[in-house]
Amino acid sequence: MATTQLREFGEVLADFRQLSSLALKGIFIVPMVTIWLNVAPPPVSVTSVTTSTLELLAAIWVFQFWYQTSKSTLERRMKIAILCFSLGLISYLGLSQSFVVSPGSGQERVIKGYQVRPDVEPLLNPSYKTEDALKDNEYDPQKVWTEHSISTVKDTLLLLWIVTFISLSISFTIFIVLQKRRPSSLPKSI
Amino acid sequence: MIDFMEANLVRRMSWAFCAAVSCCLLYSAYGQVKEDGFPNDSRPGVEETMALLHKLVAEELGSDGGFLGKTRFTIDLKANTYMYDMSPQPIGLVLSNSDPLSIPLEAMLRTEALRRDLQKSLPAESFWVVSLANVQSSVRKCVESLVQLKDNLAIQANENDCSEKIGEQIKQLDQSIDAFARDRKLTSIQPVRERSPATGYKVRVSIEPPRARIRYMTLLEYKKCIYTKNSLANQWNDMLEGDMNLIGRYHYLAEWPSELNGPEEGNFEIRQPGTMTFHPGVK
Repeated sequence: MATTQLREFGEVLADFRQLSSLALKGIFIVPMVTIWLNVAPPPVSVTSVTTSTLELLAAIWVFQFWYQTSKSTLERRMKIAILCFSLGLISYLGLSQSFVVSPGSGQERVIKGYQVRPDVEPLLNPSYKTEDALKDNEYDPQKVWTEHSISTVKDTLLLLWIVTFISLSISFTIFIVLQKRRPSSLPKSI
Repeated sequence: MIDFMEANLVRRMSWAFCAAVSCCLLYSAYGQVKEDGFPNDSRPGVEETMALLHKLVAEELGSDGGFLGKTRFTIDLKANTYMYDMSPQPIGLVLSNSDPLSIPLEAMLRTEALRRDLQKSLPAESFWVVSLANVQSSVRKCVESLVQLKDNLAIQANENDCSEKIGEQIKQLDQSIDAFARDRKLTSIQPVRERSPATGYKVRVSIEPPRARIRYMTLLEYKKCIYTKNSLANQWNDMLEGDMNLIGRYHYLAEWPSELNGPEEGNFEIRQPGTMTFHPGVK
């Protein structure tokens, strides 16, 4: 990282007074908080640590490669990042409502598939649904849905989660870069 | 003075360390001799060893239908699907890891479980008989070579050779089953995993009076067996008194003595940790 960018990035990380700096650090911490909230795609701890690391890398990326980029380009990228964040969050919440099941308190949530196994399909009817089959098999989705369909849903949820948080990190880091470029209204100390 | 004491201490510690290492080496060597169990000139022959292995396999398959004796092959002609699983089990579950016979025993457990399932599912077919016999023959050859060898190094070298030869025969068996499935246009379904992703709730099970054999299976497995008219015999797991991790709905069979109303079947559901007591007539 060039000296200027490195210094700026270091200053943002070391600053505990500016609201924007605090918020950026908060964004890195948010995925870790989801370990307690149990909202990240399972396995929650692995996903959360990976997301935090990727967010930090995204922030470094913005400082390193986009620091000298023109204001208009950065603003356009920030809009795209915010759009990606919003769409990603809505899609993730929608998908997780449909495909993530909680077996009960203290249990790791399980991800369902979309294609039922051929040996389970004949048992299903309006009064006996896939959720019942899941409950009747110790909440093991692999005994109810095909492995391929479970993997597809799992990968999609993970991708959406990571893209959402990376977009958040990018949009916020661009915001900080743009704020730092503004000429300060305060008189410089002599 | 201090230097002298320190040097003395270091010397004593060195001696103690050497003595401890020697003891460990001697104990380890003694342990290996004990584990081997046979003096050089009184090792059992091939037939005795095979008889012993067959006995162990029969015991394991009879007692542990869920793990070592798990289902290796099923066919569902209505759904046009089949499940085939010849994945190996960890060696050393019956004999110790260092026992050279643990490799052929593990292969025997798999082949015998498969033979049991194929005889039940495809009794009229003969395509698997030769391939399975070839696997069994390679297991026997492995046992023969291991029994005849006395040198530990040679036995170790032979173990790898054994594994490879058995693996080759199992590959040919895989191919014959694949060819059969292609011929019948059967769809393969994945074998179910042994461990549920939900850890389950700790449930303390008690049986009062403790004179019944309680067996259980997941409710879905029960429904599948009823629908396909498959035997329930291989799906039951024994429920023992003590702590168990359970979650969801199950089907159970309590075999009470006739004076306590005889056998009883039913379902139960686990939603939280707690205690579950089986009584005759009432759960």
